[in-house]
Amino acid sequence: MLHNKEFPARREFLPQMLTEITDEVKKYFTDDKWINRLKVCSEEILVNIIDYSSSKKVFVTCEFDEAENALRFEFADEGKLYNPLEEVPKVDIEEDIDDRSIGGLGIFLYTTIMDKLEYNSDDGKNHLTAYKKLFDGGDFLEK
Amino acid sequence: MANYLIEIGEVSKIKLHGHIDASIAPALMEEMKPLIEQKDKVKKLVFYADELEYIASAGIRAVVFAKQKIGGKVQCYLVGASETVLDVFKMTGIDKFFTVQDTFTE
Repeated sequence: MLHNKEFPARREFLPQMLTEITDEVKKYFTDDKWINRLKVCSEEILVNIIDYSSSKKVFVTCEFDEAENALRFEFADEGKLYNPLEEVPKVDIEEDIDDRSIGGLGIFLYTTIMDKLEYNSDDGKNHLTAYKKLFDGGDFLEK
Repeated sequence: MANYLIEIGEVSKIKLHGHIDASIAPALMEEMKPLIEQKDKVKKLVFYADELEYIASAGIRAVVFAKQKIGGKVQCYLVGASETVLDVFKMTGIDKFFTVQDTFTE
């Protein structure tokens, strides 16, 4: 169980965060492709928090959400308030590689892979929550 | 051991190892500058991914950066990528611009 676990918001703790998230993901997904995709999403979100939020801490949740029948990822930080979902850059994956902008790929990936994303800052912290349904390519192993 | 090894030539080779993520990708882009400076000699650009375990969007950006800086005529290859690595290339639509092979064949 990974519920609101506090980590220092520093790059050197990123491997530990991703290992703990992936350990939880593996309880619900057995397909390596989906395990990897969810790791990629988590990394993209965490790197943005670590690099840009100015928060000293990040709080990580990865747990089953019964109401959504999904794995729920929540990333909270105490940095400057910023809603990454407000302006999601458009990425045209059909566009020629030589004309591509190299920015925005991270948020493109996690908004594409996840089924639902929410942001709130009601308590003065950034909370980015992402849901991945268990029956979309995943195996339901543990409730 | 570094997470990448770059050999510059007519067939330039970039061997990727382990994880290419946000921590590694900026250094990889920096290390590719000599390759970009000699872009006129590069006809083929081969990314060896048989020892690559994980790539994040920062790694994809580094690959796109190399392709864009070297120019439109260079042929790009992705060799030996695992299913999970290839999946990240596919999700970003980058795979279409690579010849994907198990072993490098010109």
